[in-house]
Amino acid sequence: MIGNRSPRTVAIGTALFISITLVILSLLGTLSPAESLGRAPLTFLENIFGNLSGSLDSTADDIAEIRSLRTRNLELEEALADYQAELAELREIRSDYDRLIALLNYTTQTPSDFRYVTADVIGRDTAGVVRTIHLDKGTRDGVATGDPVITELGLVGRVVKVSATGCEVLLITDSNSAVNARIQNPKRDVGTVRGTLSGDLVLTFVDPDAQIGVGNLVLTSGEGQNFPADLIIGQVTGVSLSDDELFQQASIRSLVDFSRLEFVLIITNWEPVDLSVFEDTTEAN
Amino acid sequence: MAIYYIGFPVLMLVAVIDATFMQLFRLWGGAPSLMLMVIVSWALVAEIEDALPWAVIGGVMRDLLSVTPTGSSAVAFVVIVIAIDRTFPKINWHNIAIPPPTILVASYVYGLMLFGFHRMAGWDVPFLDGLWYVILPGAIMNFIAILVVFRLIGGINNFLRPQRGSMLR
Repeated sequence: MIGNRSPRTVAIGTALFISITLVILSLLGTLSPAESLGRAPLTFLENIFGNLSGSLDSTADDIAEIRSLRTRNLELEEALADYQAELAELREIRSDYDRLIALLNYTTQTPSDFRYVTADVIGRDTAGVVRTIHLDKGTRDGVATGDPVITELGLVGRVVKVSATGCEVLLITDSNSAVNARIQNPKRDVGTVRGTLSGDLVLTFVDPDAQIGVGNLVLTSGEGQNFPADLIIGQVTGVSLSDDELFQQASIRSLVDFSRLEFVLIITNWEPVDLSVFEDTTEAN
Repeated sequence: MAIYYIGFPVLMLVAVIDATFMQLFRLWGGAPSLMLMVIVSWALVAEIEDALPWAVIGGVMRDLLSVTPTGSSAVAFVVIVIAIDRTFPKINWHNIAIPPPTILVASYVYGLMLFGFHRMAGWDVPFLDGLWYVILPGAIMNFIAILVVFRLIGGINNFLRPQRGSMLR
């Protein structure tokens, strides 16, 4: 039968068969080892091109921003003087805190306990509808799926795909991302920070009685064990009631400029508590 | 045969450029897609038997640098190549009328199919917002850049297959 068909029909049939088979195998997860292998040379090239495009982007930005940077520098110098005074005061408080913690024999994982791997941003997801970045560190450097990714300015996202030499990070600004958060207000109210298609962050599911103020810091709460606690997510810029008026919601501005990330830190030794045992118990009941 | 030896590294390079340099031109959620422009251009100037391998390999390369299930872009590209083959005769690489509207339609077909595949993979895709926030800016940038890519691909095709090039309308 095949012999009677034109080469054109055979070519179309073969192309469709190969493509659809690949999609099915990929959705089933059976392609993962091959995908990881195939991604390695692309990641190598992406690393080279990513550095080039990063330099190009930052050079263009630098030229455009020299004047505003001078003004900003003066402002920051003034702010630094204020913060140095505040830092001295906070060090005293920290010292008291450490002594009290020692007295209580209370142990917790603090940012200084984390092991970080610095990674360059070498690319971004081409699909557009999903906000991810590609990094030049993979399993060879101890990176695993689920590892939190941060910068000195706050939370960036978590690793969703990893190969030997690279990984892909789902940004917190993606609409599929949800981070359990705590507001730094007197009552320490909690909520969930979600990304949106436009890349903005929204804090949702906050108690309607919570006192949220513009300027309040929003940190990870550690609930759900998706991220360690106390990582900075951003600052509240506006508060409103949700559409159904059951919760409050707030727009959040991250200090991280997600469109111009050049390098990030991957926390490689954070181990979430396994909560699956509790989920099983709930299902059994 | 030379076309197949050239095709693999070229598509590899195009996939990497899409994930790096093209992201510098991101407007809202959309960025130009060099891979889509290459596949559409190739489908317009070459025979479908030549264009289909480019569509499959290019799609797989693109998906390897994305969270999209591998093969999704390949399916979308194959559909676009078939549609172009059924709609237009092979066009001359100096043609400036057909490539721009074709890439505009192809951008929407590709974007919508990817949305579907993302949904199948369990990603939450805000469909209506995605139409104007992600696909539209990408389609406009593809529309602007297609003639440059089309001339380049047409030139390569003409160089590799001069006898076919001379017969083009």
